[in-house]
Amino acid sequence: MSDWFPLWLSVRVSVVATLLAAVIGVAVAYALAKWRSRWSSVVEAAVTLPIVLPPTVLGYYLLTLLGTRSPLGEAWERLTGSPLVFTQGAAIIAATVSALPFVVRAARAAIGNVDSRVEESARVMGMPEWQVARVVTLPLAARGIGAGLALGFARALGDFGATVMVAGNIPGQTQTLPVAVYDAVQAGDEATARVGSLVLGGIAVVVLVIVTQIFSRRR
Amino acid sequence: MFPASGLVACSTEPRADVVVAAASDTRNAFEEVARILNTEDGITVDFVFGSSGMLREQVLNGAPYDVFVSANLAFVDEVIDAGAGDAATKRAFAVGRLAIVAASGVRLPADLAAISDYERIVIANPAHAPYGVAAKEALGSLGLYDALQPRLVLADNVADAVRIVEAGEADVGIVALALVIDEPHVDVPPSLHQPIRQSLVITDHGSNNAAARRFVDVLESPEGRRVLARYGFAFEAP
Repeated sequence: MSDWFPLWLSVRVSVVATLLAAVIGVAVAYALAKWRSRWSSVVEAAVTLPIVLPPTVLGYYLLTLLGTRSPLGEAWERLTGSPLVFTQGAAIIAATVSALPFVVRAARAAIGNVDSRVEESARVMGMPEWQVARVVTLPLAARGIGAGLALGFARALGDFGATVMVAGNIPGQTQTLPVAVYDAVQAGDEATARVGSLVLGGIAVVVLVIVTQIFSRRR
Repeated sequence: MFPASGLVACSTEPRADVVVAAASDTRNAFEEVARILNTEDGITVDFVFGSSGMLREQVLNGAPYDVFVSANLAFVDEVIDAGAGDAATKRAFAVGRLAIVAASGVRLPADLAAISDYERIVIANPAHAPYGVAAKEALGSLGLYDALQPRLVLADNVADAVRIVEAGEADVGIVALALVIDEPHVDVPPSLHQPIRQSLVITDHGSNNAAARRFVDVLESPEGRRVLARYGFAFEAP
């Protein structure tokens, strides 16, 4: 493989996307775990959608939502002077949306599993609610959240369908490694396709091993 | 959002002088044209290959492509009508042809009519790929389309159709001659379908890009035409 740009872009995009998914996902998961209302299931379904939707459909939604002809896309262009779609920013958004459900689902379960008696005793000691979350709940849920983040990272790294729709396949700009593999297969460039696939497969295996270890250490 | 845009802001500059979004049938020929342009002018070209329909959708949604090359005229007109391309730069620069290829170990048919002897036949998806439309028309003019429809495999774009045959996932494919000119193939008579007019327009994004105009000039130069002709493209009388 002569050009390693797609790998570095993929790593950077998925790292940033995982950070964003961590902030948004843990906040959403916390809210879902703590405040039960009839809207909870609607919110959870909406957040889970990217797992079950075909990535191309997700990409089409994002293109329609963020494209230069959409209100959001126009507002972004007015603010920054350039379109949001077909940039690395768009690749990050696609990767974040793909990673989010894994973070939310794992974090919600982990937060829900924290023994409420421990949280209660912190409250009895006079801690305000945000302190309880910061000092008690989230540290106790860290393992589950970490597993969700690892899965989210793997999913972000592997995204093809949504990325190719909203970020395109521009060499040296938005061509991530999965997209580069697709392009190499189309071009009959088997060497690049093989190396790219091995690298992506290797990273996925490492991440899954980490996730398994996180869970087995719990016992 | 802001940490993200900060991290990537420094690297979204295009790395090549011109970005050309082109129908996938042009891949081999265009890469050769780009080499000529690079030797003669030192201009670098990056290509984004895909089905004409998908690329049109991306151009309409603000993709930063300087030149849009479609395997039909209609998509170029749509881009111009939407105000995303400069009508004065519109060209139908060549005509594509269809050819039949077979998987390795599978005998090529004698002609298009003999394609009904095969179990799995791949064409590009006629819903959005001009070569798929032409393949459908060609089968239709022989009265074969309806009977063969259950045996058709629809590829994402015409380059993908070639890949599917080469991988042995289909017995034969009706694909772009330009992609298989150096391999065993059977020509499909152009009289069986509407001309596959290879068309281009300089997009709104590329309107101030001199390298984009230079790419178009080289494509239309005698040297560019020689390359296109070598890959089986034909030319219409002006």
